[in-house]
Amino acid sequence: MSGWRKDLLRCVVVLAVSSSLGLLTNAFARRPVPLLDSSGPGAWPERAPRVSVEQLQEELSAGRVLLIVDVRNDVPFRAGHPAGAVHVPASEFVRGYRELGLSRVLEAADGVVVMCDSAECPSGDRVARILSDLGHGNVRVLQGGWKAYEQSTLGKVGA
Amino acid sequence: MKDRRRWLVVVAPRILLGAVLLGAGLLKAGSGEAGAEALANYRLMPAALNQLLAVVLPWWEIMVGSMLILGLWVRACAGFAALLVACFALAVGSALVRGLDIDCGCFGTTTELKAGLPHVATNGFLLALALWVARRSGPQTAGADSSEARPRVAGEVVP
Repeated sequence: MSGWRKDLLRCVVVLAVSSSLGLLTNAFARRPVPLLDSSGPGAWPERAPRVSVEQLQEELSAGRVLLIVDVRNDVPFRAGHPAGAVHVPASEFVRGYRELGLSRVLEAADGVVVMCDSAECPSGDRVARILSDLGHGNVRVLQGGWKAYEQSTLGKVGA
Repeated sequence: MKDRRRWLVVVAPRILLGAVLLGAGLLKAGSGEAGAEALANYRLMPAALNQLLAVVLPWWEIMVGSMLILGLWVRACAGFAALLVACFALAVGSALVRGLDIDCGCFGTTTELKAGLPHVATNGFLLALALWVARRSGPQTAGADSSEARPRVAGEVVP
């Protein structure tokens, strides 16, 4: 067999063995990824309503109780976050929501502002969707994320 | 002296490439749902494909990375790695062109690295490294089949 054919065959073997290992570990995982689920974790989330930093500042000044949920990972959160924000990384939001008993805290607030790092904020859209599905109203995503918040005069920790 | 040069030219690039792939795969392997979401953020593929890739892609990286480190099927694995890295570069490049401000998802959820020019450059470097390793590994022989393990005939010209 010529060299490149042998290499191609080896690539196919590597692909087949590693894919099988992946599918097998997923099948026995504690939280397996649902396969062929068009509304599952691989789907692009619906765009949640946005709130700008200026709007947020106005609403807070008017005495509204808004809870900021920071869904970024640990490292950027530790580097700086909004004062009084609740930290629940988007990747483990449902578990964090239950463990922290967020349901009661969110019910006591006038609204929820989900904050992430990027301007697109797909993880924020996902979390907003989860919160809406759990029955929480007035859930919005902070436009511009942490970058926009950081430049505002609103309270910060660590920045 | 010759051994040191061979180590720098052949073995070190192979181990470096293998280590990067193995590290990226291991960091992604435990976070399937987050991986599917990271892939969805690129808005390139349907949900079902994102889910499938989130399950198998880390294992492709783990297997190819391990085999490169161990020096097994080097040319085939380096070719596979080149193809993978080229796809990553295209995905990150397309996100950049479309102005998507998203996390690259390259090393799982442990880091929040933005999909941007530095990533395209890093992928370009890894692609060059993979092609270099594939080229330097020489024709395949049975067993440990890279040029570094291939016995040389007296007087043979080493390319």
